Parts: sequence; C-alpha cells; structure tokens
Amino acid sequence: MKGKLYDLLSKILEIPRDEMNDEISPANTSTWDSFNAVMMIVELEKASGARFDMSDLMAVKNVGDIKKVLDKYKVKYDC
Amino acid sequence: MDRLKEKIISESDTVASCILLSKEIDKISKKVDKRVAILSNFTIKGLSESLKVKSFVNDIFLQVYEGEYGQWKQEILGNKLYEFKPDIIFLLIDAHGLDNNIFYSNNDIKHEEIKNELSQFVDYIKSKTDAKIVVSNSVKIWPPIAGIFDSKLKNGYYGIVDDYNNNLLNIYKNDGQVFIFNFNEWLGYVGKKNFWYDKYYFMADMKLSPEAVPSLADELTSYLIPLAGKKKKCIVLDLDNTLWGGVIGEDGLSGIKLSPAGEGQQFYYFQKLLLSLNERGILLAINSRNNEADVKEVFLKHPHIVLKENNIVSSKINWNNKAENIQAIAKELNIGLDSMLFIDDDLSNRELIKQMLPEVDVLDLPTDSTKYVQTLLNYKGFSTFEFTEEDKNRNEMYLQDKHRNEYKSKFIDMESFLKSLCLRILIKEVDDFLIPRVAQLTQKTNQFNLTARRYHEDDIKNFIKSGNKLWALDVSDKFGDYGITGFCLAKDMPDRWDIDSMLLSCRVLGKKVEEQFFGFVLNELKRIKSKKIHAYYKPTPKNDQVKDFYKIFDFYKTGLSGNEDIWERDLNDYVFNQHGFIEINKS
Repeated sequence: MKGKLYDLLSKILEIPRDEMNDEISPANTSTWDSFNAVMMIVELEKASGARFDMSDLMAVKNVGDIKKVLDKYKVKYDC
Repeated sequence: MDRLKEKIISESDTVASCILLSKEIDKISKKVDKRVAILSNFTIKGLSESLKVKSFVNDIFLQVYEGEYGQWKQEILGNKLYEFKPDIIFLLIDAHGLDNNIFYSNNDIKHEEIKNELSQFVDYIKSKTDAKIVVSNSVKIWPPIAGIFDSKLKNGYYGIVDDYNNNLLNIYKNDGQVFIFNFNEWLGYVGKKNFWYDKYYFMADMKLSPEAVPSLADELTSYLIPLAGKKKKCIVLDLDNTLWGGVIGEDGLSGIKLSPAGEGQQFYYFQKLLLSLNERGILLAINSRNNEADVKEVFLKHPHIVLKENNIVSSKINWNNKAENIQAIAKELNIGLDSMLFIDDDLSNRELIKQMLPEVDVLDLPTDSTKYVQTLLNYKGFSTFEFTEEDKNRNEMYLQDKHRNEYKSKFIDMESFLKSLCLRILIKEVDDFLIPRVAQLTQKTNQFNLTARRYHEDDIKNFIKSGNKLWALDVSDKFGDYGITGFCLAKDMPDRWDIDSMLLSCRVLGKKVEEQFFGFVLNELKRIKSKKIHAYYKPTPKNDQVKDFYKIFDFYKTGLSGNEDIWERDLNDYVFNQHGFIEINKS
C-alpha cells in the first residue's frame, strides 16, 4: 500500500499518529463518524488498489479490524 | 498562495484531501468572489469543499451554501437560500429520486407528473433571484431491466428518462439564467459502472460514489469560470510535435506527420478542434523555435494543414525564449497574460512558462499525442454563458488590427495617422439587442474600466427599466468594424448624474475614441438635464491608466467613497470639443 496506514487514518480522524493504536474506534473517537468512515474506505482503496466488499467493511469495529481487512485482501502495509 | 495551488493540483484527487485543502484555503484568505449554493436530492458530501478547492486553482474564492439533506424543495420555498444571496445555484436532481418507480416499474404508466415538477421549482427560484441556475439532467442507469426490449416498450425506461431530460432542455433552451448540466453524459464519461449505485449507496446513501466527487467539482468549475469573468481569450501554440508530428526543420515538409487518415491523424483532428475554437472567438497565436521560412511553407503548401495563416493573429517564430515571446504576443494583442493558454508538448518549455509567467495557464499535454484532443476538450477555461456576434467576428477583427498596425508604421505623426483611418463612431442607446454584449463587456473589460463593476444581463435590463441612461459605442474605420466596444451607464439621481460605469475595450484605445465617447455622453446628459455630475474611479490591479481620465473633462476630485475616488463637475458650463477626424453618429 502507498504511504503508511497510520498517516492515512490520523489525517482523516485528526488525531496525532503516535496516539494511533488498534483500539481506536467509533466508540472512543468522536471524529470517526459515518462520513469519515466512508473517507477512510475511499483513501484505503486508493492507496492499496484493492476493492473491499461491503460485508468486510461492515465488520470493522476498530483500527485492529481495518488491519484484518487489509490482511484478508493481501494488502501489504506499514503502520 | 502559489505553493498551495501546486499542492492542490497534485493532491486534490480525493474528497478527504479536498476537505483538508479547503481548510488551508480558509486559513490564508477570507476573500469571497462568488457565492455558490448547492441543492440536491441525493447526498454529495464533500462537494462544497471540493468546489472550493478546484475554484481556488482558477483564482476564484467561493463561499458555499449547502442545502439541508433531503430538503431541496423546502430550501427553494424558504428564505435561507435567498438570504445567502447566491451568484449561482446548482440544482442536482436525479429523476429516480422524484419517482423511484421509473426504473423498476413495468412501464405501463407514463410518469408524466415528474416531467413538470422540477421546472415549477426552477421557475420559483427565478422569481426570487437573478442568480444563474444550473440544473442537472437525470442519469440513465445501464442496462435497463427490459434489456434489449426496452426500445420496443411504449413507455420504455430510456424513453421516460430521455423525455424528462429533453423536456428540461427545451424549456430552458432560450433562457439566459438557467443552464442544463448534462450530468448523465458526464457520469457516463467518468464511469457509471463504478461511481453510481456502488457500495457507498448501500452503506451511506451516497448514490454518487465519493470517489467521483472531486471530478464532479472539477466539471462544475466550468460554470464558475465565466461567472467570475476568468474566461481565456487566446491560445499560444507551439508547432513541432504539437500541431504536427515531427520537426519541420529536420523532417521537412513531406516528413512531418499530419493527415486526415493514417499516420498523423491525431494532429489533423487536434488542428480541427483548434479551428473550431477559433471560430468561437478564441484567438490563436504561434510561439515556436523554428526558421520562419520553414513554417511558412507548411502553412502555405502542406496538403492537410487545417489552420491557415488567417487563423493566426500573432506569430513569434524565432529562437528567443518562449516567455519573452508570450509577453510580446500579449502586448501586441493588448490582452492580459491571465487570459492566455499555452500549449506545448515540451515539458521544459511548459515549466519555464509556469515559473516565469505564473498568470498564463499551461495545458498539461500528455506525452501520447492521441490524447491531445481529449485533453484540450476537458480544459475549462473557454467555458461561456453566451456566444455573441463579437465572439463570432473576433478573429477577423484582430486580423484587421494586425493590418492597421502594419499601416500605422508608415505614418510619422499620430494626427495624420488617425485622420487617414477615417474613424467613425456610432453611439447607441442600449436596447434588448445590445444587452448580452454590454453585460459581457462589463465582465471582461479590465484595463480601461473606471469602476470595474461587473453586471449580468438582468442587471442591465433593470438599469434600463428604472430610467437610467445607457450607451454603447460602436467603432469602425477603413479597415473594418470593431463592433460594440464601449459602454457608459449614467444613473439619474434626484440632484445629479452618477457615472456608474465607463469602459472601453482595449482594442479601440489610442485613437482618442474614448474622449469623444465620453464627451458625447456629457453633452447628451447636459441636453437631457443640466445638473451636477459625479463620476467614480475604483483602483484595481489593472486600471491604473485611467485614474486621471476624468481630469481631461475638467472634473475635480472631491473625495473618497469607500475605496473609490469621487470626481465632480457641473454640466452647465460643459462644452463638447469634437475632434475633426472622428465622425460621430447617434442612433
């Protein structure tokens, strides 16, 4: 994947990248709203070239789950 | 600001980055050139920010009003939209949102009611504001449920949507306020398969995929460029590998590639496109490193050359640097650098112009010449709300200018040159027929424009209606007709006349025409009602040359109103000093 995962997520969620971790989720992050969720998908698809199915995306509950989706689609990434 | 522009050009390809970039724009400037309202019956989040970002690249600062989600009808019938005072309203309406049966029904009903629903709302907006209204047509989904049989159904799906779309086109065909945006064709071009009813619709109710939003914003800047008066006037062209394949100085007349069939076809069609733009009033100039004789041979003798010498109003064929040449062309044609587009296949030449003359637009021509036509077609700088007689005749007029200048060099003094031109000016009261051209002049004239007030056709109409005096100037000489090239608006105030606007196209300057026109205006105003007169000068980056224009007519400066100088005099003792060498007629 082009660029680093945490750079991409912290840019959209507007939280410092060194505060990024697997537990970041809509429940503990006010900026993770439905709109930014869409923005993350668009940016991740663009950076990775993959196209994620909706069912995989609906299963995402936190940053850790995003990594699982990337693994499932065999997207190589750095944090 | 230029650094941010560069950043935008390279990064504004996703909604998320447009949102971030629009925040950066807000940080550096609070300027607002145009006010834009967006209403839609489907969610297009991020369009406001993307529009702001894409307009910034064209030096247009926007304030955007986004209608509440799902409430476009309430917005139109309420007050908030009009209190925002929009200059333009985008109404992006999908027919499937008006009647969701049109796609899934078995098409035994005619869906007549949706046809006129939208236009009723558009007409209501028209009754409330003079803003331009851009209405999208409706997307057609591919393929229809009935498949190949859709074309045989009495009320086939495509028949219904085509009907709806054509109806919109026909209603507003001759309406200068309402423009139909062909959303269906645009979406087909960027990709219905990926960007319409994709997963985002089912996840977040976004019919249009957010991936397509930045390019939609890009497309909609076509309406903002003419609205903000940023239209380009002239294309400056390189020759080798731009107008033909190969290098004339090395490959020779028979070696260059230019043909309506086979090798060189892409250059032939590129020239056809340029010719077509030229016929729409875009001037063409040449800026090439070559031997002039070689080039002349191509234009005169090549069997497939499309552009002829009389399509080119200025040629700089030499070994100078291309930035100097562009400056010389701008000076010769008397147009601003910011109204030019430079086209050159050579990356280093393009870089040179971008750095030396940042005002000039540079087309990023792809290395593959088969993509030239598409690239230029997608350039937005020639977008226009109107096509006037002046546009049609522009090329001819500049050619006449070229001949005039050649003629001028034969005279020693100005007076005898002006006499020999047999100048005639015709001063007309502005009527319905002249309104489009006059509005266009107020939008486009920068240098000889005392107040730089920009008006739309409806504004001009209203000025006439409320009893003000409006004159247009038509100039001609022995070489031909310049057309309508000047405008003056005098407002009739209880105790005085107010010169609200006074402008001349720079093409007629330097012939004392401006003095005769305004002298005539003063004389007429005195005749109608001799009273005090106020005139104004608003400094802009381009109109320094006219800051003391009113001094010629013995006005004296009495103060400031905002940032405008106020000039005054009494008409009682005004005497019109008519020059012998200009014939004045009035109609």
